Amino acid sequence: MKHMPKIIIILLLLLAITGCSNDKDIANRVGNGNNVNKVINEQIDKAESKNNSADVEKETSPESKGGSEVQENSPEKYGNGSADVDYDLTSMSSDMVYATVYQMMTDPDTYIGKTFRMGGLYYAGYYEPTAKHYHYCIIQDALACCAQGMEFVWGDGIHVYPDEYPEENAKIVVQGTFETYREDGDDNLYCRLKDATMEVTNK
Amino acid sequence: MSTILDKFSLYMQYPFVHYALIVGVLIALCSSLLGVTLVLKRFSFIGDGLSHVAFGAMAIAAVLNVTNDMPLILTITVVCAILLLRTGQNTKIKGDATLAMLSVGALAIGYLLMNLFSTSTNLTGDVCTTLFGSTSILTLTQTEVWLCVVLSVVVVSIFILFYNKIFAVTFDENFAQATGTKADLYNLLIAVVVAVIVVLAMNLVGSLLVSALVIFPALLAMRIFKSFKAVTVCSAILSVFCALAGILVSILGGTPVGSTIVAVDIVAFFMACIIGKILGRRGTV
Repeated sequence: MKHMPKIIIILLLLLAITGCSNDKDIANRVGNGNNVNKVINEQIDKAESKNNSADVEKETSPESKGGSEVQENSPEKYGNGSADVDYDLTSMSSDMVYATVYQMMTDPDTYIGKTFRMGGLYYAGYYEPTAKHYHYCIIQDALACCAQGMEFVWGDGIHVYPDEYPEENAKIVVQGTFETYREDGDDNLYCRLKDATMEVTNK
Repeated sequence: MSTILDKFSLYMQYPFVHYALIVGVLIALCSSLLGVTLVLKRFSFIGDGLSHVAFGAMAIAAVLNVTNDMPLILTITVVCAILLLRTGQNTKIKGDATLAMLSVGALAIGYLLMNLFSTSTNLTGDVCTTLFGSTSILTLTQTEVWLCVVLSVVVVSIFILFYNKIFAVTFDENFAQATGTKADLYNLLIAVVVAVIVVLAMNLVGSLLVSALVIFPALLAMRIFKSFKAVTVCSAILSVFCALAGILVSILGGTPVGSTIVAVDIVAFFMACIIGKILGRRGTV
């Protein structure tokens, strides 16, 4: 009798915990369903609006458009998305993306020849000694204080900068094959994604 | 749920995730073992102070362009820990004032050095990573993992071997000294081990959050258990569990690792408080 209040409290807590878990599962399922539907509808709307404004799209880049079509077919298909490429960073959390890119930079030999798909912010830089523009996909960590840039070569590199490229800090998704290279007269080893496709997801 | 499991199984294919989990578990285990002693000796804040010292040491290593900065950081932190724990009672500036002075002093000097002499292009990022850990636990090299394993084995071995002496020094230093135990020597040992743990834990949660790994597991175990042994064992188990949960949540959710682990510790602390209340236990600290 003395312990009755404690027993009642424990029973109530157990009841509350089990009750919460059921509700949560149902809420998640409903929530996920709505989210998926929402995403699919948004993608369909986007595709339709792109078809309607085809002239505007043609002015930007045929490769960019091709890349976006591939992306639209599998935006939330996690398995299919990762089957096309060796490492699909777009389906990873920000911690994992940052850590993977860090590994690519510190241990590039492991990743040479692998295909990557990654999302980030577009950034272009001009390097005077080579008189070339270099293009990067900037990936930030979870704290947003550290960032790493992965260089990429869009298609075969014939695209004209800045006319055909997006504005800086535009959200992009790039997909390409990882390689390392050296510039003439420079001992540093550089990493980049070659033969990349680029899609602007949000300006 | 299946998406999360898919994600989890995908992430587990990466070796750096294995490294993070191994190092996370080891650091959580070591910090919780000594945490009980520190909390009972009223040295809860020493982890924070020493981590700031380690930050200052890291800044010196960065300025000197030292490739492997761990030995330098470890040496400076161990020296400061010894100074703090051994001379704390005999100096003109007493206990917590010395700690506070050393803590903020090291932090300020560290940041100043990094600002003035750092060759890095991303100073903000460097400072942020050092203070909050960021994703440094996911960027460990194999050498760092082995170093952590060796140091953790040493720390756990010392704790097990000298358990009785540490117990005696923790509860009644004067009595232990009167009965022939070399209290000063064991205080020195505790200081060195604490410094090692702090330097290791900086990789996991960053220097600002190191104290959480030391304090929370001990305090939440004290809410439930009363004896030193039970509190130590419970603290170790809960600390490892919270660190694992924190790392997994942060990896899956894309949140900062250090602060997620501390958030899990806070939740566990409040749950332990409720359990302690229900069981009728009252923590002494």
